[in-house]
Order: sequence, then structure tokens, then C-alpha cells
Amino acid sequence: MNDLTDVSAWCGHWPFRALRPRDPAALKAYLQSQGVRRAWVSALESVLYPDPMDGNLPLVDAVAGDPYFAAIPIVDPSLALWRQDVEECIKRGAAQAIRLTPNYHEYALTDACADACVRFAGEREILVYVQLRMMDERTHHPLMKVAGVSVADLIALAARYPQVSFVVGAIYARDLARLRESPNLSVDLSLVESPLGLRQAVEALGPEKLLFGSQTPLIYYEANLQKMSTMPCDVPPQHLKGIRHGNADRLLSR
Amino acid sequence: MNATHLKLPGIIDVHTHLFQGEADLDEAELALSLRLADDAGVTRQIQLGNLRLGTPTFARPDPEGIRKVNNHTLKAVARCPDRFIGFCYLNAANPTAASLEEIDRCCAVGPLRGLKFEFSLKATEPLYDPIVDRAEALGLPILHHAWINMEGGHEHESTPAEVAHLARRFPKVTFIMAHLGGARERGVCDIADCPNVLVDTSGSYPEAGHVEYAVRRLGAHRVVFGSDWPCRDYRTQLGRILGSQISPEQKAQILYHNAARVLKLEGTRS
Repeated sequence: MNDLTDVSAWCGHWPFRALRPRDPAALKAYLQSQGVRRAWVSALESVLYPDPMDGNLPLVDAVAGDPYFAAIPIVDPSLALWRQDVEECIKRGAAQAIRLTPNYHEYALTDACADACVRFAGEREILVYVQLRMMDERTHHPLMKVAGVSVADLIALAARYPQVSFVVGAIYARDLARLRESPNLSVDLSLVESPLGLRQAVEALGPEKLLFGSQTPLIYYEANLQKMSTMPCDVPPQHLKGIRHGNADRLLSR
Repeated sequence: MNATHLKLPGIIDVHTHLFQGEADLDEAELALSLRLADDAGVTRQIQLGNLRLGTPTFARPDPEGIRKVNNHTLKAVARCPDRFIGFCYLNAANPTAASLEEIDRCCAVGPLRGLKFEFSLKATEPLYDPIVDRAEALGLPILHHAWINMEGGHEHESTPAEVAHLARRFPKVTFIMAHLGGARERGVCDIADCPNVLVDTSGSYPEAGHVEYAVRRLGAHRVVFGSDWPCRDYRTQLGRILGSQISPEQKAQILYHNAARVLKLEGTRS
């Protein structure tokens, strides 16, 4: 069934493991073979390069004009030129969303630069995607342990900007219920795992705020696809349809 | 994707628990476990028990706590003998006589078919030796927890290198080292020269590449599927195997044949 929108695909090289696929063409071929009809994609290099634009621009240019991908540039608002960078990405076609990786860029969501960035996104009607973590903190490289982003800080930020739509990347199942009172937060399900995980996510947040995400190539795609095979008694088909693509497509139109 | 194309006799999950119930099984949890296992295609599962009955943190249960855990496991096995294969939970730091008595009660006389160690004592400690001697005499496999935890982990938690140390002391005993996702590449290397150690695929989120790496370094014959349900989800963890870039034959080994061999199930491939 080719009806999935994957909100957490990545391109590029991740220095801690030899992962495939890396380039947009290979990623597209792979995801299409797995039933994904559209993918939101960011550059892995932008998480760690001193200037994320060095990862953003090759990706944005590579997928420009291909409606299969929604390129989501990673913005580091602690860099002085971030506004100029967002404008540049918009000019090149990545106009719908930006991604923040605060823990890898050494700022907090309570910092003034985060507020400035979200305010700017609100003015431009751009979705803000906050990546809480890249991977389970227990498995990080011993010389590069990066704590997850504070969920409390995220909730407070979202409350300060109720007109901005946020997506929360790589949240853990245990934190889902904390987002219950945040109407402008939707969540990527790639690291939500527990028995009856999808049903519990629906119970915690309602079906409209849940988004299929795979974290490809960091996580086995099949593992996240398996979550969508939940039984109708646990998650009704109409809710599942929204999670598979409807909710994401409403957030980012083509 | 499911495993039907692999034409398996079933799927064996070597790492499951029941975490509710005390003197009695929690019927709702039991029913949920069976329903979700059925849905995932899991037909047999090693039942490692409700470790919370030993101590809330799982660490250092006394002999009475150990008996509570194993009584619970015995009830689960009696309820579902065609589904659950029970392992006897032990704390090697307890008096050795108590551990040996528990092995006799649960495995020599009772129906449990292996031993389980969590993180009560480093696997390098000599206190293990008389217990593993008894396991060897009875032909019992041992499932031992292991992690390399960058957030510090638990006191007394064994690393893969420490499990390898134990396995080298007892080369005739079959060990299943739990948590490939916690052991990762370094842990796989640590056990590589111990042919009597297999690794189960549970542990953390299904990070891509681990299964292929374990198969490349150890051979598919030394990798077994484990979910760690209900800490984790059967289907999501099964996705590690189904989505890995290995051959259908290797997936079949991991999902069924290797565990069937270790557990000496009928019709096992030699």
C-alpha cells in the first residue's frame, strides 16, 4: 500500500555508522519500494557541520522540483547569519519548514535565539520541526554523548507561539502524554515504542497529531512500518489513514 | 512485510517477560502478550519472568525474591506450556546453596529449561562458577544480560566482555548474551571468539546495521531474535530482522532455527 508520508527521512553521511541509502536518488528508490509516496528529508551532515548550510544546500538543490521530497533545512539560530540562510533555502525551494537540532548546536529552547527563530517562522508561516535527539542517548559514541532536548522547554516554547505549528522529532513513548495540552505540537512516531504503542499514542494525543516517521537510514525502516500494522481493534482504520499520510499532508501541502 | 515468505515452523522470541501480577498471573497482561505475539507471528517465547517481584530495580533480589519471580514463571509455563519456555531467574551474589536449590526446584524437578542472570553481579565473579557448573551438568542454556551503556547503566551490570569472560570459563555451556542493541559493535567483537555465545537482537531502538554486523562477525548461526516484550514491542523488534540486509536463510536461522537448536525443540536442524 503506497500511501505513507515519511516525516523523518534523512540523506547524507552519519559519521558513527556506515548506513545506506545516502543520496536522494537512492533514498527515493528505497522509500518508494517500501510504500512511501512522499518524504520529508533533512541532511545528516547539517547536524554536525559547523555551518548547517553546508549540508542543507546540496540537499535542497538536489531535490528541488521533485515533489516526492519536502526538503527541511536545519537551522542553527545561534549563528549570526541564520535569517539569511532561511531566506536562501526558501529562495531555492525549501520554503515550508525548518528543523532545529538544539542539543547538537549548543543552544536551549529557552534561549533568545530560539524565540527569534520561531517568531520568524511564524511570520513566514513556516512549520518548525524540533528534533529532540538523533538516537537513544545510551548508545551514543563515548566521546560524543549528547543529551536529549528538554521536553518541558519545548512545551513552553510552543505555548509562547500558539500560531506556529511544530513537529516533534524522535520523542520517546514515555513523554507523549506531556504534550497533551499543546495543541500546536504534532509528533513523529519513529522512536515511540511500547506494546500497543500506537493505540497509547492515540489515547494520549488523539489521532490527528501523530505522524509516521522512519528515521531512515538510522533506524530499520521495517521496524517503523511494523507499527502501522496495528490491529483495527486497537487503532481504527480512519485514524490509521491520518497517521500514515493525512496528518502530515495537512501540515505540509505539496 | 511478515515472515511468511521464510516458510518457518514459527518464530521463537528468546527474550520476553510478564511484568504484572504477583502471586497470580495478571490475566489482562497475559492475554495481551499472547494476542500481540500471535499478531506478530511469534509462536514460542522464552519467558524470563516478572523481575519486579525480586526487587523493584531488578538488582540483587534475595533468595525469597528469586523464588517469587520463579513461582510466577512456573505459573506462566503451566498456563501456556505450548507457548512459554521458562527460564529460572538467579542472583549469583546470593548464597550458592540457595541458587543450586532453586535450579533443582525449577529445572531438575520443575519444567524450566534455562537460567537467566540480570545485573546482580559481574559475570567475571567466581561466585558464578558452581552455578554454571550445575547448568552444565543439567545441559541448561544461560541467558545473561549485557549492555554498554553510555549513560552509566546499573551497578553490577555486566558488559559483553564480562559475559565473554564467563563463557570462556565454561566452553561447554551455551550462553545467549542479551541485547545486541546495547552491546553494539564493540560487544559483538567481545564475544566473537566464544563460539558458545549467541546474541539476542533486543536492546534499545532498532538501530540500522546491527543485525548485519552481528551476522558478518559471528555468523547467522549465533544470532537469535529477542524482543524484550513488554519493555519493547514484538512487531517493532521483529522489524530489525525482517528489514535487515541478510539472506532469507539467515533470517530463518535468527527467527527460529538457532533458538530451536539451543532449546532442543523437536524437529531442530542440526
